[in-house]
Amino acid sequence: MKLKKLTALFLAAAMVFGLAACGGDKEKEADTQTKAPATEGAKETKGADAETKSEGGEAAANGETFKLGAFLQLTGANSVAGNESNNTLDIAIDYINENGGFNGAKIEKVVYDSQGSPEEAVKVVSKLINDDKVDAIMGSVNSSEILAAGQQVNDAGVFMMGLGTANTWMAEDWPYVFRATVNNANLATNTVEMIKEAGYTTVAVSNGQDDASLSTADAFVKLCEEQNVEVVARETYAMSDSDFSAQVAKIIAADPECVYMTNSGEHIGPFVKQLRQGGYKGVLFSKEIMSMRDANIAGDDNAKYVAASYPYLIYATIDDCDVEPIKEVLKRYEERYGEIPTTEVIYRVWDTMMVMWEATKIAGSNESDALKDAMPQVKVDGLGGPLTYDDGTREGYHTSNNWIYVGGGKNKDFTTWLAEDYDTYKSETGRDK
Amino acid sequence: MKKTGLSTNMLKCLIAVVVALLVPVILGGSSYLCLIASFVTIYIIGASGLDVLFGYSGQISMGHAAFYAIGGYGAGLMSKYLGIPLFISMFLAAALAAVIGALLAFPASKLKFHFLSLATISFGEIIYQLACHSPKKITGDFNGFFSSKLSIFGLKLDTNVKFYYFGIACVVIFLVLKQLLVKSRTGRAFVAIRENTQAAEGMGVNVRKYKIIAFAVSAFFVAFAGSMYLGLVGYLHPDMYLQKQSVLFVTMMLFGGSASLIGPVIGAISIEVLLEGLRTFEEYQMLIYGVLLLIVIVAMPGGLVGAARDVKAAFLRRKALKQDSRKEGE
Amino acid sequence: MKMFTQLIILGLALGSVYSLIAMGYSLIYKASGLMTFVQGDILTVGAFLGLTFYRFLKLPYIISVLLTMLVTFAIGFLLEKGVIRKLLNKNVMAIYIVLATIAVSYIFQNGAQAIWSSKVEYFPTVFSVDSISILGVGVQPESLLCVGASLVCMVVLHIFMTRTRIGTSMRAAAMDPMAAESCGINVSLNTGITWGISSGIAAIAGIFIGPMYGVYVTLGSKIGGKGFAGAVMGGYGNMYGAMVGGLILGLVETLVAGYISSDFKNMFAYIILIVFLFVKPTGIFNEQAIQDV
Repeated sequence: MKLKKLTALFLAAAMVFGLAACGGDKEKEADTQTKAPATEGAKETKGADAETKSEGGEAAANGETFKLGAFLQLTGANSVAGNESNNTLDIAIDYINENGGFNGAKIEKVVYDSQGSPEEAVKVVSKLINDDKVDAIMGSVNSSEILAAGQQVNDAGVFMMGLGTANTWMAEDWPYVFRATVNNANLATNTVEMIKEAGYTTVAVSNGQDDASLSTADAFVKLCEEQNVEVVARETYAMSDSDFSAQVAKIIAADPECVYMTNSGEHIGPFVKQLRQGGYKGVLFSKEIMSMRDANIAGDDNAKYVAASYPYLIYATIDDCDVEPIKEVLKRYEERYGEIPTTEVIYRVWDTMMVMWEATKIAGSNESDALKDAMPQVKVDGLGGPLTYDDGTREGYHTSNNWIYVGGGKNKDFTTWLAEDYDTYKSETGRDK
Repeated sequence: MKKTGLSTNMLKCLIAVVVALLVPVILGGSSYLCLIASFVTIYIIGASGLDVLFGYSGQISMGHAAFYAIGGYGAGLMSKYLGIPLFISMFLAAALAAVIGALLAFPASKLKFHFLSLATISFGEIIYQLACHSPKKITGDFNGFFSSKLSIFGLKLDTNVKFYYFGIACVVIFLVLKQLLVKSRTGRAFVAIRENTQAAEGMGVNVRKYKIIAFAVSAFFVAFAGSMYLGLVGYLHPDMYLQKQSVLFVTMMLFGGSASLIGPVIGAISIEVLLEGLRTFEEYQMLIYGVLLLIVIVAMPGGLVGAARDVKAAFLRRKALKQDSRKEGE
Repeated sequence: MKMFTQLIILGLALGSVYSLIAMGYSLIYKASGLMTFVQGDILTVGAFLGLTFYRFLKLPYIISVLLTMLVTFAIGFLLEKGVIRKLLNKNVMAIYIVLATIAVSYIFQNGAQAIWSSKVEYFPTVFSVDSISILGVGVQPESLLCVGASLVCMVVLHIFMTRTRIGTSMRAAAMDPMAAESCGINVSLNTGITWGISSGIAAIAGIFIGPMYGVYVTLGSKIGGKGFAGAVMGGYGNMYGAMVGGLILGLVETLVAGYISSDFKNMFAYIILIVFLFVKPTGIFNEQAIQDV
């Protein structure tokens, strides 16, 4: 009897699964048609990759492996950054493994979904350290997750490189934690310089409430006070917001000469769109570089004159890219996944892996302590400029580039733009600044 | 007859406690597994607290993350700004949550199922917003709140194994309290209200009073669980108190089975283990979790404990039937 | 004054989005006495389906909208038949149905990601202009679509629920399924249709707001909760209430953010909701909804 009931239960479970699968297929049909060529391409390259992988395996004949643990947000709001990081990680690992690995050891990835939740991050990192016994950890793009889990990593003495850009977690005293991404606070400094360069004296600030957005805006406002740029309005939005009507109305009412926004992810496009629709035509300075998708959501005309200080750009197509190393990475990405990435996290991950690789070469060992001690000597040409760690801040990037979006998928150097196109901008928007 | 029933129950509980004490040994002292076990102890207290409210007094709350937050932040703030040792401020924060819970229950007690759940959702959202925009940024807002880890009278709970034993002690205390409560006069009043509010009122039960008591007790449990989280992890962030946290408590309670001692315990254990076990599916973890959850709800709407009870009853009935037919055969 | 006009108009535009979403919640409650947490995620699925038909398959806009409604109607109908009805037949506690809808919302949200990826997709607008001027305030044309759609839904659904045979039998079924069944009403079919219609409404909302906010997997769960709140403020189960409640919520949000602080806009929205629940749970339209057990 018990057995029967169990079987029945099992069958019921199977049926629900089957039903769910059928339902899924129906929706999928439409989708596969559109994406079919791309997926096929991706599959073929995946097969090819598998072959090269096994060759790489022979190269690293000593059979040692280096376990690299990663915690990334793979589901939920703004998880595109985590997923593209994960993809890039695979590419970078294959590239390094083909070229000798970390001191001959093949890198093996262990990744878990931290769901954007600080609690999950704590559990996942504990699993990576204690259960998977990873040799090094690569952190989330979400700063809140790194803040929650960083202490644990540092206490365990595991070498870690974070992927977030907030200044908060690097301010903690965690000597095992490094990063090869930009520090938003530094970018805020550059942005204030850009604002001064253009001769603006008033600015309105829009920021989200997530850690990175908030801390950057705080740093920016403080810098403005020091540099005599007046902040005429400061508006915030919650992560659960998609409408910015009131913020836009207030910014317009304050009539600033320019706007600084630390919006992130899905909040950039709609904000720019609504601000432009509200009638604001001035230059918008952004914390991060705008992706093509954001520009599409905002509308290309609306997205014009969004400026940012950032080491690298996001391109609409590979051909638009004129930086050779970035082109190389984008090509690898497209080869494997049949599309080019939409966020700049892929550069962050690539740089991080290259820095880690260099550290293993200098250390001559894959031990966490040796890697930590080798870091000050690391000098790598990153995708957005030189990465150096000799100043004791555990930060890699100390330089950045200033850009402004001019429409049609093109960004221009800010200084050049001021010299060449500023008058066109004035006549186009009817503004005197 | 009744006495032997009680003693076998006591025996079962004793065995459960002994097994619980041996868990770190069974897990091979793995720091990660002990961390998960520690989280389980936190969630057992949380889910049991919700069970007092829903399982016994029949009031639903979809916003218990609010009390979880009050416990966590309350304990942290008291120890940071008032210099009260964390261990003591945990109880103070839980008491504070009980008061807030009672205040909320005062108007909420007249609301029925759907409207009550909406009211508690709103309450949860308001507390979440307060954690995000605290006066003078005392909670650190979205930058999070750091605290030292828990130590009890000088004994530092700095490893997960140590915390686990503390957690088990708390679980035993809270479950005993819960059991004493539900077996008391108050507990019987809860059940009377759950079964038929009007009839209970007619029999002279002060419905509002008991509903408020249930809310306060439940808030106390969940807030204490929240402060245990702070003691374990030492870092709080508003995003831990989104509505999905409230849903997690409800899920654990219902997955195991409500209105029972063992139900929320089993629910908390199985949901935690399930979520950890699905981790290897990476980005499909939550999809599979959703499907499994749905299957369990549809197949066993009484929770695991309810299903086990049904199976047992069916088994006994079948056995009795067989004996009957055998007798007839003779 | 300019800012005030701007806030009012933008607030009403936002409110109309909430109103449209609120309709679905109210309809389900009115017709089956159940609470659902899956509307928001059906909105997401609808937006993605619309995107697939319109942008990827390049079908005409009207056809895309109709196809999306059809598919989501089927999803809603099957959801009722496959999950909700099964649970109702088992006579479970209402909370299990709520939990089941939550589980389904996990499945939809994560399923949408598995199918369409986690990227933020843009939804091309069908209008040649991207803003329309009302009293000198630029408004997205899609929000006018939302206004129109919610007005139509409000009137049609209200008449449907109160004046037609099917509507009356649905309400009867919601109040007392057993009695309705014995009067020869096919309860199961009725509620199935309601869930289907509600899903269709959510999907339209998804398609309309797609061009405004972009399409991504958490779009619906973000905005769905607000629609829910709007439905309750107006009078849970009342179509006029859903309309007015949504508009009020939109206005409150923009005015609070405009004149107090954008930090507190969500907090105020929920404070107002909780006050409504405590003081006047029947909402503005005094909807004497189904007696809860």
